[in-house]
Amino acid sequence: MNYGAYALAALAIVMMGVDVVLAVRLRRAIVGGEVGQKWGLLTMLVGVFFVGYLLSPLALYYQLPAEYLNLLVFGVFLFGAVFVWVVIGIIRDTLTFLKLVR
Amino acid sequence: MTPSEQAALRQLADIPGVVGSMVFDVSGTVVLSEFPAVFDTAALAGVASRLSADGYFQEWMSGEQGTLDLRFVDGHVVLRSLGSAWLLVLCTLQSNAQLVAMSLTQVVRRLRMSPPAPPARVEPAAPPAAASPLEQLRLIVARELGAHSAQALEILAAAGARPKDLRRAIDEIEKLVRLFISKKKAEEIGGRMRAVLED
Repeated sequence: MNYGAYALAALAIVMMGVDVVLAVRLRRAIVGGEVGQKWGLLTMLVGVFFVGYLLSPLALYYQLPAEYLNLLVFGVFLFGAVFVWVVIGIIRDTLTFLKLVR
Repeated sequence: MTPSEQAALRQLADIPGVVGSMVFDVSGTVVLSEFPAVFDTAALAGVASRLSADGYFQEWMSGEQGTLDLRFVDGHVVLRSLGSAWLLVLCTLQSNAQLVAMSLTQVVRRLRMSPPAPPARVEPAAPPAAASPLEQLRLIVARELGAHSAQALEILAAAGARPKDLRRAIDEIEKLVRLFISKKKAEEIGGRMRAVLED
């Protein structure tokens, strides 16, 4: 049994659970607008990640075949890239409004 | 407004932690106000108008015993019914709740006992003084954005009175609304504000 991997998965699930709560709370606090829409997308992505994180120990336990595991890993990479893209968009909007961009 | 009513509000303002107070009627008109000059009168009028137009507020505050305490992170707002009007008091967190409550009881009694204002003489309506474009823009912002108007009003306050400055302020407010409130509202408010400048 790879206890180290299970421990990391458990830690990741707890952290992502907290992130889900924070993201949903902030989503409710944001009135709307473009930033609100982007935050909605971001919250959805956090939710997708959370579901993936919950399933990750099962992938370990059932020793998912390498082909599926690769698909999972690259899927996470893709969603991660979209996540970063949305975060950059929100930060750019905010900084542009605050005139903190050269 | 009688001197005794104004004195009653001033009495409240002397309590440590009380920032200001105002009385507004069912139509949302601010009848009396005792707020420091830094407070924007349009924003205060906006608060009065929104509260008085709210059905839940009217229901909760109906009668002479209506009371409401709104607690926020950096202060609290106390509302008391005066029968046909309401008293709103803004306090900091440092205010002594018991002292404020005791003083409010006295002030509310004084405000209720003060003789009704004599009916206004009906005179031929004078043409309304034309409000400055800046003032009109502030009104539009306060009405359209309500509770979310603070930042937009700050932008207007920081802008100069020249049309060029006001145009820039309108662009900024439109952007603020588009980013953080609603795209549709941004188009609406932008159009209305530009129309004021064109007039």
